[in-house]
Amino acid sequence: MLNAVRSFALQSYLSYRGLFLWLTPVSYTSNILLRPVLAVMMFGFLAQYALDEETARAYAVGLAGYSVGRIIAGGVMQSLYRDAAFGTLAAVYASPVNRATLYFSRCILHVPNAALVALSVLGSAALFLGLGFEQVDWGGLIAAFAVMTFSTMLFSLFVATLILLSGTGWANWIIILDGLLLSLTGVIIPTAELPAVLFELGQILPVTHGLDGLRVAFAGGSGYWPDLAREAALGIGYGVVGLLLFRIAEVQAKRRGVLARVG
Amino acid sequence: MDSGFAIECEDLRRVFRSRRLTGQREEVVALDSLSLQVHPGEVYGVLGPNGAGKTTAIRIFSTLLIPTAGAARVMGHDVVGAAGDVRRRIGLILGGERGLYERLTGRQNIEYFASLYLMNPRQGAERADAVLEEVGLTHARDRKVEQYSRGMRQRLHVARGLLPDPDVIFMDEPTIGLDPEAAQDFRRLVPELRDRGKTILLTTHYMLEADLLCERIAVIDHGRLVALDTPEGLKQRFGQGQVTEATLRHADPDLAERLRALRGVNAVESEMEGAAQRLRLYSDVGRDVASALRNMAGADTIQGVVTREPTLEEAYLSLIRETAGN
Repeated sequence: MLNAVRSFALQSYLSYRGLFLWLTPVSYTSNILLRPVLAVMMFGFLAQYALDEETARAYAVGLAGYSVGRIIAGGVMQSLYRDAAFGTLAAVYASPVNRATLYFSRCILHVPNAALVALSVLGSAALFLGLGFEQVDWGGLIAAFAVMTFSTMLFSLFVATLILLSGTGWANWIIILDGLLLSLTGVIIPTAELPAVLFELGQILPVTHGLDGLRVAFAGGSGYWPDLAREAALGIGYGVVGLLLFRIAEVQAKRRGVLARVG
Repeated sequence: MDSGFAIECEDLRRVFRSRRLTGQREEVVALDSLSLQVHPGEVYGVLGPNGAGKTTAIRIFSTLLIPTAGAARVMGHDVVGAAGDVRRRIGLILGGERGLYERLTGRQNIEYFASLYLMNPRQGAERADAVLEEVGLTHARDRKVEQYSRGMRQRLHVARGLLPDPDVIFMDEPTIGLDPEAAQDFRRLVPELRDRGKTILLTTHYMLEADLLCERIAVIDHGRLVALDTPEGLKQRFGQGQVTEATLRHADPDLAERLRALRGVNAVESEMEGAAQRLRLYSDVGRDVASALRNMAGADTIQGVVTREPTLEEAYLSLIRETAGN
């Protein structure tokens, strides 16, 4: 058992080092620290100028959830896609590794990035927009970020598997996902204000329910658990379906003979 | 069913289907009723032109490709039905510059795959050091792969294939990109592996390598087995008897034609090297072509004459031309 855990930890570490291309100083700083701060400045100042300070702070809380989802999605999706792009997937598939271990090892080490991004957003919002933390239920806030990280990790693995299945590029998907997270999960626009179809789409995206819980915890309320439970359940669902699809993707690749092309 | 063969396939067929932009379906038959049997501990070569189906066969044996029809087994395990058992028994060496984690060091690459082969980190580290030493990469083990030369990458591919200490090793053009010294090191390694009881299936375009290393060689073309024999057997069967090579100080434009007309001479190749002319005559065994050549060209004109057995390359080319003619 201990060996299995050590092996999983090594797989997680080395696949992260080998496949997460934002680990160079410039990429890491711009994606983990600078981008979230710029998002706060852009949306926060816009809200402050066009509306009021309270709305600007509400945007900042939303942007914290969005930025966590975005950094996790970018990192995790790279970690599967680049295995195909680098041609290493064939060698990985030729090994006897447990496919579930392989699959889930690709997301674990992105957790610290989520924490850093959340800190970047909340810190810059405090600095630039005067976001206060006096009322915050810290347990709820940490739980909300943890659950959003969990659900976006599994959702990102699921999307990465769709990329493998479709044989398309990673960059197109991250652009679409970025837009969906920003517009449909309640980051800026309350989900209740969305057209019905988009509202329903938002309900099956990660971050949406976690963000509801985060806002409750931020206001000092204690009723965040139902939202966080929904967010976690969504993540588990994506985890199960994603793993199933990952197995199907492997069989399909071997049946269609595309491993020679992508790996 | 365990037949005692380390690797075997029966009527193996693989068709790749694709669709053109016009919507028209296209089919490429990569393997067509291929049957092979490789004994345990044997070094078995697979030769063939590009697109003959060599890599397709290796990918099927290593569970990376599902055959369209037929069956393949490795150490008695079906490559489709018991793919997990096959993977635990094989090592795979693919040629080329891709297929490695560029941002990791050579050692980290091997350690990563050790974890995929269910080794604990300590075992993995020890094994990584051992195989990196075996392929001569110890000095560069802590350097990132993105800084490796093509030859070093190929050595790392070999190290990864040896990592799980497998019973069966598939080598797909393993010396491609290696410098002569590294290729020679590799050619020393193969008999060592065989002596350790490993079964090796090797594809290569280097005939000398196949001649030197393989106990039996299968020649495949258009996905079909066209010949199977020992290297010597292939030379005898397809090498067109004996080869006489001669260099003439001065070119004689008609000589090749006149030599072709001689009884027992099957083919003549002629090429110019500056003012000199090089001739290669393929004739029946025992035929004294050298004397006939001296008489026709004049003894003073001939710089040197050598009669020898055909090489594997000559036998291979003759076989492939014959197959193409048919």
